[in-house]
Amino acid sequence: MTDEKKIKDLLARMVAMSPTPPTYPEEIEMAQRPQSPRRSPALILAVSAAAVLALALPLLLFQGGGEEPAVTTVPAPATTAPSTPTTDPAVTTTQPPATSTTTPEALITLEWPVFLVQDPGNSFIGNPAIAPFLLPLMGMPDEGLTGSPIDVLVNLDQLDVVLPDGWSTVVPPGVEIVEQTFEMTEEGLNRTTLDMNEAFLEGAGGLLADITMLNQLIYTVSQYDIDEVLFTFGGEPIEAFGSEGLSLVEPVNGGTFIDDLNPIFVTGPVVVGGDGLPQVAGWANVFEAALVVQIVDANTGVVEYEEPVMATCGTGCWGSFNLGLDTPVIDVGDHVLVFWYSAEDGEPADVVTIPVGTSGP
Amino acid sequence: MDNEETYRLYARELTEYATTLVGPFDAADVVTDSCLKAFASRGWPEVLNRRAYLYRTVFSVAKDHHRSTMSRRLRELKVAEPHTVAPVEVDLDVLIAVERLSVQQRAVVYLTYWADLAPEDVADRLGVSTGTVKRHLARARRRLGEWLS
Repeated sequence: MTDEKKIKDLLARMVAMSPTPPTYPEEIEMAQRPQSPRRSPALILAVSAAAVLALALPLLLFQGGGEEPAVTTVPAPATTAPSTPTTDPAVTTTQPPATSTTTPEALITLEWPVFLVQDPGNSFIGNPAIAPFLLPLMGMPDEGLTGSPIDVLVNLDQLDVVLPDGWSTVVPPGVEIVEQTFEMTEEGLNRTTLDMNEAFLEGAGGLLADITMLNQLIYTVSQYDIDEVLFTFGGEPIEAFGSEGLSLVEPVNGGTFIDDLNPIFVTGPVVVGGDGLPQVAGWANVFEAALVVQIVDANTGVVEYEEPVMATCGTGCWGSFNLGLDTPVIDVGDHVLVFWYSAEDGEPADVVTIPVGTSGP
Repeated sequence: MDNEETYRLYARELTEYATTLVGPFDAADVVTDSCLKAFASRGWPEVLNRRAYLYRTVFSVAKDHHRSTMSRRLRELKVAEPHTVAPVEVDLDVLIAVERLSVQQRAVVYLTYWADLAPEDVADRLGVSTGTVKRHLARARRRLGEWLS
């Protein structure tokens, strides 16, 4: 059977599940009645704002681990500045997004920086890329959330949030953080301990997926001055994690599994700021440290902008890069591509494709 | 043609389309919401191609639909007690396959292979470029690799 016939078979079976069409709803007639008073947009906005504020205030007030969500106005363009890595690759610290002021009548959205995984299709080809995205949330479910990026990451399947196209998570549903604690080690390092539930011990379904999940968790929780992460189960260090029994007895940090990531690692959310001048920053370990940043119209595929950028190290070592675009070329829906031209065939290699939103992808 | 006639004419196919986009559990709600939205819009009386307009509205409403709803319902079904009655007859294998696709990819696959529209017409129906339609199709085929093989 050809692919086309198989897809048609799939659709036929999908369509066969269609419920009975809903009866013609009376509300439609109500909506059509000319004498029906139109709801004032201002009133809708005010009521909505009140509802969202009621949901959001506890989160705004929560200071879990010093983490603060960005607050942006909707629909006004966000003014959140893109964050930049400020330390070595061992620990990537992302500056907390700025908090913009909201007018009383504006809706607000909380934005949480969470590291997602670039969707490779059906299986990983090479090492997967991860990158942080500001995920806008209007509210949080009651269960299992204390209000921090790491909680958002492990509860993504329960949250009303649309992930950027081409990006997802490998943290399986069911993985939970039982407790998170913070301490200063004798060496003066900021350590957070994540006591995980039993589902975590099973990993994500394969060594690479296991390590990718760890990288997602480590980088998401390591934002804002966390130097190392200790995973525990039942309060005890984990001796065997995932499909291959990886030892997590020792604390880990952003450098522990960095070589299991794509050689290009964008570490700050790519956003259109108030000035429309986005920054693309991160780490790379590519041939001769030579990278290329492109802006591509997602609808037409037209390359609108291309700029070479050098990492501080390459060909066997990780170096940082930071490109501040000097022209407001990014529109919502554009894609930022970061890659290097392969010396073998001249084709783009290890491409990271980031869809850009107004304040987050 | 008044709204009720329009509704009766297209409700069936819109429900099938919505089923592909959001699954069978919420298709009826998406269709109802879409029609409420379309019929209440100021420009509705001037719309020439009402069918295309309704398709576009269903797509728009489906995109706003909670992304993980189908995932959650799938998990609920998998762990459901035997006596639990599902609201519709479900084909879990098919849902699991379709769940790999984004809403955009589902729409493109449906309109291409079920409605037999050309890429240009699919693009027009969804308000995107032809290139985007082709890219979504290619990605959808890749993501359905296991099913197709």
